[in-house]
Amino acid sequence: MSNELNSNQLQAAGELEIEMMQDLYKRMTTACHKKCVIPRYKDSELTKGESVCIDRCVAKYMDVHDRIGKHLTTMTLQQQPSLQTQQANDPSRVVGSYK
Amino acid sequence: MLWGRSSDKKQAAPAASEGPSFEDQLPTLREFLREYNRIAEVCFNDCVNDFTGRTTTTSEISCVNNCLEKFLKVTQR
Repeated sequence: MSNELNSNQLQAAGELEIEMMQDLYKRMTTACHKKCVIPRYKDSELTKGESVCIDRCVAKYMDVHDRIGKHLTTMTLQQQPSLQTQQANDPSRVVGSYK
Repeated sequence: MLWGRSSDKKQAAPAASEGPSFEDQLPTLREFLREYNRIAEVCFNDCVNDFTGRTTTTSEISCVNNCLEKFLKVTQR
């Protein structure tokens, strides 16, 4: 398989990446809401504790996400050595850090 | 594709010398990435409960690694 992607394929890859980032965002907000927001809704504003918790939650979630991504990439390359040349030429765009 | 999952069977047989095209691999890739997001969500929910700091602790990291390994072994089984 050629390493070069034509513009249609690049667009498809970009759309896939956006779709996955939306999925990531949705899961992350659900997880951090559950972990940080106390279900007593006496006030509509976030407390300072909740805000700090959400900030840390997002940082940790992205860290976990990145670690798993790196681990999976390593495992994938070990199982399919033919991908290693592709990886060298085109470091993973879709499975990788979103920073 | 890699861990003996049922999605293997959906992948088209590769052409004589080229292998599956990029377009053919997209659904598999999409499913792989969705699983990746799911693993991250499950392992985060189960392993990370302490928000007194911004960085993940070593115990959380080892928990996440074990969670990932178990997740993959579940799919293999």
